[in-house]
Amino acid sequence: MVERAFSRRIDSLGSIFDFVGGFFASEGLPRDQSPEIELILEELFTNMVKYAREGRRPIVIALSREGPSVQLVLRDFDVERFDVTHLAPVPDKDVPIHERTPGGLGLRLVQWLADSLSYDYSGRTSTITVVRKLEV
Amino acid sequence: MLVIEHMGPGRVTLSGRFDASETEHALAALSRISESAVVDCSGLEYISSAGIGVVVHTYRRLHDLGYSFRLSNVTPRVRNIFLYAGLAGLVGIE
Repeated sequence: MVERAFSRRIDSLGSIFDFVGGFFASEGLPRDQSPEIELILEELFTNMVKYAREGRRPIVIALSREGPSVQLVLRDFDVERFDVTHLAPVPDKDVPIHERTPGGLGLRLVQWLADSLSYDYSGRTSTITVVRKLEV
Repeated sequence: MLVIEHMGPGRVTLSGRFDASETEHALAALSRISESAVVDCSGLEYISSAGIGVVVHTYRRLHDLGYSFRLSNVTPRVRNIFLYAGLAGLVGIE
C-alpha cells in the first residue's frame, strides 16, 4: 500500500497521475489500464476540492493491490458529509445536448467505472473506498 | 498536457490529456472557433467530466450561433466516455 497527501488544488492532478503511474510501475500492473484509475481519482478529488470548501487539510490518497484489483481510498478531513454513493441522475439521451442540465457527470463516471464504491463519514472525515478490477 | 491546434477554418485538433487542470486553457483556445468545426481527436488519450464540460460548452455556443460542432477520429477509450455521458451525437456516433 502506498499513501500520499495532496494539496486541495486542481493543479495537484499532475502529481496524482504521477503517483498512480509510480504505483502501477512498482506493482508491475499494465500501464494501459491506469487511465480509468486516474479518471476515478480525478473525479473524486476534484469533487472534494470543489464542494468541501470548508476543508483546509490536504486530501490523502492510498492505493493498494488486492489480487487482480486496485483499491483506492480518499480521505478528506474536517469536512461536511457528502455521500458519493447516492446515485446521480442518468442523463436523458433523448434530450438534445444544448437543452441538457449540466452537472453530475463526474460521479456517474465513477459509479460506472467502479466495481465497488463505499462511503464512510465519522469524526468529520469523509472516506471513499473504490475497488476496480484490472485485466491482468 | 492538452494541445489544441487550429489547423484552418473549421479544423481543430485536440491531443494529449484533457483533465480539470486544462479547463481554462481549453475554454480560451476553443473560444476562437467562430464557424462550424470538426475536431480531430485521434491524439486525445484521456478526458474527464471537466473536459467533456468544455466540449459541451463549445458545442452549445456554436449551436446557438447556428453552427455545427463535431468530434472525429475519437479513440475507443474516449468514445466510451462520451457514449456513457449520452453525448454520442456530439462525437458523430449514431
